[in-house]
Amino acid sequence: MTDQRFTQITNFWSDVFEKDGRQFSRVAIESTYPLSYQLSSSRANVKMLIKKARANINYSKTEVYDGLISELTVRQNEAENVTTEIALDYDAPFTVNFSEGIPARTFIVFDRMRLYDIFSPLKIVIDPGHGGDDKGGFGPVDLLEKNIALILAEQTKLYLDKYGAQTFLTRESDQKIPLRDRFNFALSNKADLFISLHTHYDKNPEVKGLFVGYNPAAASSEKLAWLIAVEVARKTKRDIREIRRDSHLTALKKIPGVIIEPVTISNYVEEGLLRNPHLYEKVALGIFNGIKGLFDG
Amino acid sequence: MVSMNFPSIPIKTHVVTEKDDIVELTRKYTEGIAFPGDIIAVAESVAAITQGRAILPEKIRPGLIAKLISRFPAKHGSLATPSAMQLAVREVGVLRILLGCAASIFGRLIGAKGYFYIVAGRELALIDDIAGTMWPYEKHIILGPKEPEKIVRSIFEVTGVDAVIADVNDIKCVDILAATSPESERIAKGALIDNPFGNDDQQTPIVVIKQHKF
Repeated sequence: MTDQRFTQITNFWSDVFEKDGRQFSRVAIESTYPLSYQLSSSRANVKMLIKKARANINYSKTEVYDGLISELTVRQNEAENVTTEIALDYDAPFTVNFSEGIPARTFIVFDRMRLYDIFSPLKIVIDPGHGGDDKGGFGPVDLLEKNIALILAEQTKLYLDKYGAQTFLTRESDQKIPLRDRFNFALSNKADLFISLHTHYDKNPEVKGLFVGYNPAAASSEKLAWLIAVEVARKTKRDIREIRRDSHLTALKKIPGVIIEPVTISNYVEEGLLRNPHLYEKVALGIFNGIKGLFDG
Repeated sequence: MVSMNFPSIPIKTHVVTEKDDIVELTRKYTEGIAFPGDIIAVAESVAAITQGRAILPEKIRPGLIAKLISRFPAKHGSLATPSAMQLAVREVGVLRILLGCAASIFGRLIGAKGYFYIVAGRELALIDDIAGTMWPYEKHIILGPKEPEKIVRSIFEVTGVDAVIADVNDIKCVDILAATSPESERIAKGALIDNPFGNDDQQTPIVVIKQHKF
């Protein structure tokens, strides 16, 4: 591009969008004028040198972790140049688009096809904990674990379905289902994974953070638990409280299975976080990233 | 309210703290972007954070009245926890809180909402309870900003650009706490309706509403 005016970078962001039934990641750079830039890419890294430009922030690293883009860095250089660096989890084809207006927007759009290859062979049972007269834990204000678990499960299913995974919920409404039936459901469906969703409850309101338990009878369960814990904690910015084996899950036999409690509902702050719909998306994406980590070579 | 046809530019900033000066912060980030004739909109919660009005709940000891009254507001509202209610008591006094409760009961009887805030004080509606603000302030209760009129006047003096302090949410409610002119208030109400500040961790607490091209 040849625009020679001095431009100011005002904002940058990233999201995942759908086009023609397929998912794409994109990075948007917003500026006062169209960008004059040079692009270069090496393995899993795309660099954009923006000429005659100034960034509002001298240096900024944004964590994305959307399953393809990991980090986005914007750096003001000594000369009137700005460098934008996009770190990817893996090499992916991309295109650059531009939209005029105020602000002007430059989009770098990445193909997420590889994620379909990872997820489409998988059969995953998602288990919203509790239900019916088994309410589970409860928050100091008014939230109930059984309701939160169902929303978490639905959100996780939604995310996995987009990439062709075959997903099953053990319950789709407020009903009580015995633990044995939930495990048998996974066994009879020959599931590749069992993901059970809960929140933690503790009489001590100070207790907070993420817990993941895993099936010690299945070889990859522990690795899956760690991957999911790290990814969920990273997305939600909560601390990992504990990761440990859960003997209940041995009923799953050789099916890798985890029980995830992304927050502690009895903690005021974490109950409050559950009122924000973005938290559910972040947990789902964290689980998605954890599963991807297990199956992606 | 219909979105007005003035484009808005959200501006990414660093994570704002009480060490920042809201006027200097606004000047720095809008330089070269906002010019006379435009409007600078600042998110009320960020203005409040720079005034040290982000408070950790563990520093609050809720009294009996706060514990009792906090059971009644809608749980998605501003005062769902005893700590937030105690801060409300601190802001306007016990008497106004109790009068607000009486007004709220009356309002419910006649099927009307919002009487609590009308009587107890509209500034209480600006309190963001625990987890009502994004990381790293999700552990805090954020009170509304003090003297917003003074802030917008100072921004105008320093930048020469009209300014507003706004409270915007995702259900298309725009509340202008202070504006340098009635015209900028009217325009900002329309231009901010789609919440260009963002509702997650966008970190864009300043928005420039452009009435003139660059």
